[in-house]
Amino acid sequence: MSEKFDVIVIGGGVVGCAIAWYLAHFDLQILLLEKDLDVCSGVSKANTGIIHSRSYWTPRTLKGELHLRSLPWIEQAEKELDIEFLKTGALTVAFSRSELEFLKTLKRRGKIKGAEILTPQEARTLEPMLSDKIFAAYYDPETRVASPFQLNLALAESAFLNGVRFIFGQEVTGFEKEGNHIRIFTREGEYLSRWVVSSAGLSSSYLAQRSGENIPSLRALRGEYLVLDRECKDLVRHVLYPVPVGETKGILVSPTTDGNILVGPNLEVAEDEDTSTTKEGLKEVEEGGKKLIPFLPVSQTIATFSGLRPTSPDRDFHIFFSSRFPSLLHLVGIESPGLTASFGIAEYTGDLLKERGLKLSEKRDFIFRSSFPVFRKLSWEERKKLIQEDADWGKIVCRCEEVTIAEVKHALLSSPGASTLDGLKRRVRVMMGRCQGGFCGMYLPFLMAETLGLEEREIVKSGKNSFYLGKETKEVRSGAPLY
Amino acid sequence: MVPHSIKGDVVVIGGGPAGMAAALSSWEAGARSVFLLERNEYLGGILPQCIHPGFGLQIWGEELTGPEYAETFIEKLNRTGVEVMTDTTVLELSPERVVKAVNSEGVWELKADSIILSMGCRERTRGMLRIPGHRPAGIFTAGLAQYLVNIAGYLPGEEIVILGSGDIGLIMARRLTLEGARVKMVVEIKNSLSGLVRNYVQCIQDFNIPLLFSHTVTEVRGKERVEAVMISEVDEGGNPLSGSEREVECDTLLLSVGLIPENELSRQAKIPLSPLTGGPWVDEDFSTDLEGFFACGNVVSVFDLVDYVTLVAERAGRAAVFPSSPQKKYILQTGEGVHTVIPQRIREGKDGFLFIRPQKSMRSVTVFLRWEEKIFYEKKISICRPSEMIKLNLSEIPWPQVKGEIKVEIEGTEIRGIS
Amino acid sequence: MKLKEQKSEEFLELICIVCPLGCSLSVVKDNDCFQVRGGCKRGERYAQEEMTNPRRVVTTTLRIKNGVWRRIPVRTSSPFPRDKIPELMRFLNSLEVEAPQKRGDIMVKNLLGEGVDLVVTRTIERRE
Repeated sequence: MSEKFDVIVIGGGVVGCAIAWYLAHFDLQILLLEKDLDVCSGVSKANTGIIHSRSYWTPRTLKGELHLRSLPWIEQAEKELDIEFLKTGALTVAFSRSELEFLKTLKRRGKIKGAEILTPQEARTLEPMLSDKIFAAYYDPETRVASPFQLNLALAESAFLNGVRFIFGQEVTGFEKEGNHIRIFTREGEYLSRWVVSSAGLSSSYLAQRSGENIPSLRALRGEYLVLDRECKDLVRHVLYPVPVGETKGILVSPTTDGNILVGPNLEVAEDEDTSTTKEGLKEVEEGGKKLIPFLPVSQTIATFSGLRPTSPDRDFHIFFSSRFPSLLHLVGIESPGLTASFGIAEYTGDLLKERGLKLSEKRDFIFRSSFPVFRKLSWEERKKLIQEDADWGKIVCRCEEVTIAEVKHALLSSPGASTLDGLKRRVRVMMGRCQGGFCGMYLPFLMAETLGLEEREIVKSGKNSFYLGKETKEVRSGAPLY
Repeated sequence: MVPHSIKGDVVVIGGGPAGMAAALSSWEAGARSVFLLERNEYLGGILPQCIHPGFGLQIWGEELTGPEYAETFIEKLNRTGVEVMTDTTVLELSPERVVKAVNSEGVWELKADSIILSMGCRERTRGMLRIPGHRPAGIFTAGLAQYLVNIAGYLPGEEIVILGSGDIGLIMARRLTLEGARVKMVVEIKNSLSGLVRNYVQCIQDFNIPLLFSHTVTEVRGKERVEAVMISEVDEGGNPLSGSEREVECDTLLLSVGLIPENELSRQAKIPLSPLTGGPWVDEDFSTDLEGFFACGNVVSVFDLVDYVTLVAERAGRAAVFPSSPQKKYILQTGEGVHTVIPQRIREGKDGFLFIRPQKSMRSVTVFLRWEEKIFYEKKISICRPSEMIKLNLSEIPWPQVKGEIKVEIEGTEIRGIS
Repeated sequence: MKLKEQKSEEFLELICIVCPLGCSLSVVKDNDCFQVRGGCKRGERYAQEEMTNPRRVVTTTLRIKNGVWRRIPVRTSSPFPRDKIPELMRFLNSLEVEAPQKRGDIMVKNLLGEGVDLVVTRTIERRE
């Protein structure tokens, strides 16, 4: 490809898409390369989705700085992206006097109006299901939750609306100088750009090494989760944090924007970027959740999953220009609070590039994204109207989450659209309900194939070899010898 | 222009065997505006994909396949004035008996004198069991796999491990083998067969498929598509025995690990549900504890024989037209050896059935009914299995004069393995 | 006749499926016939049949063209010889029928010359 870009962003996670979205406010030719088949396929698809408030920022770190820088963006993001950040507030719970000190630190750091340290009784007035063994709780009204997929997608869709190109299935293997441009090599092709931003999550240290940096490889630290049925949505109203032990925020119990309850994550080492869940890990998550909510209804688990944290040795963000390629910016070690800090990271990235010479001239015609209607959230009047316009709004394909064929088709045909079942799942919530695809699994592969003009056997779950269907019956020779 | 706000005598939610029989029965009892709402494109529920025989033996003395059984009812319905609405999903149900549904023609509000719930059940999933490992493509519940094979015409995969020795798992073991897939083994966590012995012989033994008792799947491996499962031997409590784990290569895992009555709508309507069955409390006419609401079929509790579902649905359909006074006389409790009892309330006990599901496979079985600690009814049967409900006729039982709690118990000699 | 005296012994355990008891039957080949132990008269008859002429009802699907569904379920009209089922499956899998088809119709007569027919079990309409 001899097309030249101003900026290529490597990585379609929430950070990559946030950077692409931010830069799309300016007059630039931008390309986003993603190694998997969809945005939000790596670290971004498996985290708690919490927008941590100022109370939880880590001083004297880059990540803390970018966390703070990101928070003022929330309102603007809500408008431009048409996305919901649910302000649930949070309770950080102490079980002893020594843990109380941490709560005081949070209050001091946050300086948030309305934030209080509560007695156990006061805490349980806010959250009746809380353990009665708590010593105190810090109440923070500013904490929000977002759907990690919806945020990532909204950023991607907005970026696309404003001219960013997306190419999937592009795993970057190397970089070469071409004058003051950089040629990027992937397994599928080559791309040329003046500036390159690598926000490749788990692959970010690898890419930095490929560009000549002598930095240690990231360690993937895994966290497992339990997802509880939407029936449990009234179990907790606030995000519940324990007092952290060690380097993580601990095992949380959190509401989500869709009504499920999320429990997790724990912390364990993952070999080979392995995202499997384990018996011990899930048990640890269950126990962590029960410490906060003793009557945690684990029998209402509908799914489990795990996410990987790309961690640098000092657990901080490392954002730096390559020593060999002056216009290649690396973002390494973006773990928690990566989602929260995504806007701040994007702005910081823009500043760094600008300092080095990237011209940022603001577009006048930046388009705000409108989210597609969600049938489940509509009133009966709105539903009636939509069905009159398009009969596909009356056909429910996912019973558990009340998703219509109209929404599925849109998710397939939008930009960037879903090309995998998991991509559909993240856009419209099919297969995410309590039956986990038992009902909609009968329809979706066929609807996908028909809408996208694919063979039914080509439909994949997520990776390019994750075929959903086997061979057609009658294609395989039957010949099982009988007893 | 069809009116979308409707009043009806009876609205039946769910057009599987229960709903069809109930709607027919309401019509035959004299109701003249009966609506049957079904979310799928076709009536019949699970029956059209159950292409094997075994349906109708009890009520008609015939061994029909699922599609044949379903079509019998569809033809009968076509000769009535029951209003059938397929591709129609009920989203809301209120305690005041207002149904809100959608289909491609729009939004529907139906106000009914009687509502019959026949939504059936859904399958237990890998997520509910919290089986650790990766989340690859290639994990299916047995019912979904059955749809793919029999209706859509696709194998779920070629090298298959089946978790659960219930009938649906056994039936699929045979079906997949006949269609050329290799079923490597069936794994059962209990130490006895969950399904019918006949299915063991004709689905497992006939095809030399290994069936491992006291084993379970402890991990799924494969990042994109299933590559293997780990299986382990388990103790009496279902806990894996350390050191017994081994890897079985496969590309598909089928789950036949239980059915769950689907009662989202019942909860919305605030119909009291039994924690034992997951479905509404019902009496012998299958009226629930909430006036005007009736429930039949798997939504009440998982039935094994569609024949029993039909019998029960016929009663519900009639009761929906001639509801009797709601006084319940006896409350049935599950005692020793009993998993579930349907119905759980008896009004008069003059006619109708009592279905008892035992906890274990046993020989030389006696069923006891106790009132205030005294046994007032006993029935001896040669054998009982968790996969086969024991059916008693209420008219045979000498119900005590005074109302109260009645305990249902089963005693016998436990069977391990196949028989 | 004592079982121990048999020269050629083929000892087989069968599970009887005639009634819910599911008794274990042991079958020994005694020259040209079979000795059955462990069950009742009906069980013995079942075991004899299983040893000499085991049969099964076969249900499967066929490919169907131009129908609202791509597969049509079918059944054998009566039990079919068990040991010829693989051959039957290969034959059935090679067929492709045309919609519409009606439940109860005979799709194929005298399958593999065994005197058993193939019956349609689901009505499949023609696709518009």
